[in-house]
Amino acid sequence: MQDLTKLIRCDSDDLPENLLGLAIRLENPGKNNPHSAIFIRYNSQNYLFHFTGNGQKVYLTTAINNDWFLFKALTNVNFFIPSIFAHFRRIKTKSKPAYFYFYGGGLFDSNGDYVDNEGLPNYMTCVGFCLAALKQTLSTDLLKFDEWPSGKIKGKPEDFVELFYKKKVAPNYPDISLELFSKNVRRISPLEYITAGFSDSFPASKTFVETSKQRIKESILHSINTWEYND
Amino acid sequence: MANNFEIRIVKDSSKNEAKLHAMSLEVAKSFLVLVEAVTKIVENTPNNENLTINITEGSVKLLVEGDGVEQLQEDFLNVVKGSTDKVLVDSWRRMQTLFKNNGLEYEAIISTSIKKTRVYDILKENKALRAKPTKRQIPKTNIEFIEGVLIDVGGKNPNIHVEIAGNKRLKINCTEQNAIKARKYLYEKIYLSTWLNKRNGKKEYDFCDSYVVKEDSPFFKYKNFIYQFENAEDELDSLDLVYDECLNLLKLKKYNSLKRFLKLFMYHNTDVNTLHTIKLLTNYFKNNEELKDYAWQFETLFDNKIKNLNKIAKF
Repeated sequence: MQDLTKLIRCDSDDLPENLLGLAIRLENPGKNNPHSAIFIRYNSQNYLFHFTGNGQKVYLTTAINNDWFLFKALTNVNFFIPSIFAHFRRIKTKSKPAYFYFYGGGLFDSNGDYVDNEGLPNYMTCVGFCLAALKQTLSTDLLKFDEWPSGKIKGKPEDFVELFYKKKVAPNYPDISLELFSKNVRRISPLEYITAGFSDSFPASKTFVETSKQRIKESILHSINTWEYND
Repeated sequence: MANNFEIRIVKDSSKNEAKLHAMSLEVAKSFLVLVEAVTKIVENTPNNENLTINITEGSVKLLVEGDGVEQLQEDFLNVVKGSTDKVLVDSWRRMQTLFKNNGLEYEAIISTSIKKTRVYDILKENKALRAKPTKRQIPKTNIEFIEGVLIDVGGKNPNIHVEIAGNKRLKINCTEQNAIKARKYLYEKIYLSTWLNKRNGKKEYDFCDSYVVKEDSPFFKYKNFIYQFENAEDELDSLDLVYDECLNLLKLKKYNSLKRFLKLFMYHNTDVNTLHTIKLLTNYFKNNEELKDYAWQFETLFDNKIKNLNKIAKF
């Protein structure tokens, strides 16, 4: 049986019958960008639940060997994986997220609707999607998202957020000001997301993630180098 | 590098080459079976929006191409190992029957950057593919619906006695309030929901709710619901049934009906997944004056359930 305290490949089979975890797709130059997903093993089948910017679609698919996904198990929810899987299945059918570097603490409720206390729109990255989908399942935030810097996205032009706001947000959500929108523009990376899974309690703090992510990155790199395809 | 699933009908049963522009009847028939099976397989492959199905010359050739072939390959290997996906298994089996039985010459290979999978050889060598039966882990409820004549009420440990069909008598544990309310119906026919337990090897009933039976009574509605719940295709469907019923009553603002429905599950022996499914909805209850007690009660039930399961797991 795999050691559930460590990073595990998503195509592993020597696992408990039901399991939930945070998954990351390793960078595979020319093929895969880093990506995040929720790993769920239900009835001895492994699935990945995730949202991609490319095509803006939500997937709930079986995990396969050549996709280079690793996960960290969250073992405190093992008793009710079937209910979580049914919940994800409903989110998959009903939710319609759109892609942007944005997360303000919303969640997908069990109807698949996006619920946010401030009425913020459901713009999100792959990580934002996982955070929103997990929030109700864990009954808490996975990480203290508001400790991540907001307003600007590193490596993007100065007016990147404002342009997006004017083009996409303002016409559809006239009640949301640029200020409120910018306050929740942030980027949490797939590496930071999976690092939070190693915290002893949730929500994980930014300090915990910052101090641990190098160590996690090294184990990920180790996995890339030793990754083998099984036939 | 090739990334496709290629199936060819090479020769007919008289060893003549099969040609797309001049198919004999037996080739055309096999071709139809293949097209149908492949279409079904692609339809049931996740991320199939980039997959195309091409029919080309080169004997009679069917080609599935695009991103997603790897998923198709993985799913095929799973089907051979023993999958529970009935639709997929059926499609592959139809292809297998064709390869095994009808005497034409075929080729079928899935090629991806990772590996080549000799579909034809694998299907030909394996015995007929069968879908593994899904474990029917349907959450069992211990809810029992009882109709009968109330023949006795009271006692130090309050209970009611009901005579049901076949002159059988059942004793149902209840609260004092339940007993006081029930007394009014002495010697009348009553309709109850109960939770059945086995304590020390003996069947015991705990009172859940009582119903006035007229047309459209919740008694029959719930009885039918619990039947559907326990006989759903799989546990996910039965959980969806509970979820949909709650949400539907919420949307219609039928709070009293919702409370009565929820009462059926408000019990320490209710399955943890059913409790969790209801708990996912309690966000909606919290801001509702009529329902907020129920949010609290279900959260407590759920938390206690998890505590107990953890205790059992530690042994």
